[in-house]
Amino acid sequence: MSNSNLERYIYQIGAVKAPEDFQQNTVRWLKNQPSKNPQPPKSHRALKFVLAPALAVVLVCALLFSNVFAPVNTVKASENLMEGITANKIDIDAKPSEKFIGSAADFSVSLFQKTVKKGTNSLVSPLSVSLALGMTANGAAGSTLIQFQNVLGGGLELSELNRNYYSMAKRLGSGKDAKLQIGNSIWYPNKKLQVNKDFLQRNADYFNADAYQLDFSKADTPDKINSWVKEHTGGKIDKMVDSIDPDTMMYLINTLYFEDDWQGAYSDSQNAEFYAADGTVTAPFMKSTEQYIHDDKSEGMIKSFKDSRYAFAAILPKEDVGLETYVSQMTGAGFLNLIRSADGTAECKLPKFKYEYQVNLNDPLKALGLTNGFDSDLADFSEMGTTPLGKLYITNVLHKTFIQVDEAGAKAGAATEVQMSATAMPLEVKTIDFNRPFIYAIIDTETKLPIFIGTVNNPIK
Amino acid sequence: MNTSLDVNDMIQVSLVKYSDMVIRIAYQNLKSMTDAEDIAQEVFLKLMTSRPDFESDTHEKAWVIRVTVNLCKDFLKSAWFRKRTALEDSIPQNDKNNEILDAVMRLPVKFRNVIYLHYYEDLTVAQIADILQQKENTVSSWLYRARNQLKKSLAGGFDNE
Repeated sequence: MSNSNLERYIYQIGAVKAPEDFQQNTVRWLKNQPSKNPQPPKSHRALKFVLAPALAVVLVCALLFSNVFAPVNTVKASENLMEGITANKIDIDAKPSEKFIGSAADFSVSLFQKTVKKGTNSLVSPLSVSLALGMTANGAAGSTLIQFQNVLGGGLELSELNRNYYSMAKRLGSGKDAKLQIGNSIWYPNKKLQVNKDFLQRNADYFNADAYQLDFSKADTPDKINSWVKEHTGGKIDKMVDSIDPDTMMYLINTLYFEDDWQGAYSDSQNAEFYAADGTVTAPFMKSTEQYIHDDKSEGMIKSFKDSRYAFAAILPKEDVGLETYVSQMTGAGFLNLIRSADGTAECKLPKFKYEYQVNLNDPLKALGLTNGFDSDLADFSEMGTTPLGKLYITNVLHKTFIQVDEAGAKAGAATEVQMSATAMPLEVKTIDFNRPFIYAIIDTETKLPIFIGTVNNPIK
Repeated sequence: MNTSLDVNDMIQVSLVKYSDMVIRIAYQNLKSMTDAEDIAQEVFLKLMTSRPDFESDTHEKAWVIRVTVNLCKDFLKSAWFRKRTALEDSIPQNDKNNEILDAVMRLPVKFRNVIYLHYYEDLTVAQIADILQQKENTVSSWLYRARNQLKKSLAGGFDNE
């Protein structure tokens, strides 16, 4: 790539950041300056609202390889709000910008670090989280918005973020044979909230979002939302909303569904030992020759899907490093470099696995710097709409994921070796045995960004 | 943008918005994180005390960049700094991971600034000229010469234009 030095410069200078305590120290320092300017004590805003309108951001992802799923019967919400709002055609063919990719990689890795639970299998979709928060950001203003811009895009303006999300989603999920389906929707009650047209328009334009106005007090409303979710996750996730809290003013939902066959399917699997943190277990392992990746603390493999737009990466931290230390030391740039390091091949043994994961993202997101949006005093979602009940703020960001990795289409099994031998002739045979806790990701092969990233601590749990 | 914000809020918003950028520019100018932090605090002090009336976000950002660059320039001119740099003339050889940034840091200060503003902040030559109060031709020539020097120090050069 002729401009790779430029890209590397952008990463390297982008990694130079104000120290964490810089803002606090500066505020303290400014207060101690001889006052040329009177500093009024920070006034307390209006009284707290007893009934605070809440905003729920719900993220749902399902990820599954090679599963023929039956069409789901859904209750279509009839009150489609986007009536009268047609998405404007957006003319963006460009790839997401390098700066966006760098920031998105940082966000992906930080989110992953904050959501990994010790000793259990975990899985998040940074893309899904970004898209749901991106939709939300379009309703934010003031310092609430700035925090969204900083956390999601390293300070990129919202308009830039919108363009990049649009371009990424379009390039990933376009075409009728798309293996990745992205769904965005906005749900809100009919009377209590006056929603800004601009907010809906931008979400229609850039996020292709559906918007539904429903009576939140009706008993069947959660079912309608759940049906939409089920429909958009290949039937894999069928329940996101149990009942609707009377304070809830809006649901912003993103679903991401990925399904594809391996380019070279596995022919079978054989039982072998996996050294999980809490003891040795027996799991079915699949064997193949794959592209080899490595850095100084890990090695791993990349395996292509039929649609070469996507690939599966598995990363095995070196034995003396261990999973937890490795995860805690990951960086966005380091992840991109590792994925770009593909060089030669290795014989790999990968266990089959399948699990569901659910995580509340409130604390992880606060830890990343998205604090105001959750604070009923500080949140500013004035661009989203107004309600006589007070200020909008976020109460919950829920994220649910599902994954299944298996031989995926054993009928094409014979193709494996042929495909590999065309691209590589290994001189020395490297071997990687994923028989202890490892990290994996489904990556977008164009940007190398992880669409999903998770850990396997025990493949049979 | 937010006329209703009080000074404290305004500074906090600016800190959130510009801290990283100001630190980056100051670090590239001064090659020291400690000095960069000092300069950055001065920038925010200036913003707080002079409270210019900005027409737009672009205008505000341009102001912040200009003030940062100028404060760095003053700092580099100061006797104290010159005496000290004699001792620690060049930046320490970083690990390989920062090889490109190191190469940029070895360029003359004005070249570093145009490289950063053009490639990282995506500003056009005209915008950079306006911010640095230079002629467009001058900025173009700095960019050109900066790229030429990088071509010599880095295999593959720097540009895809």
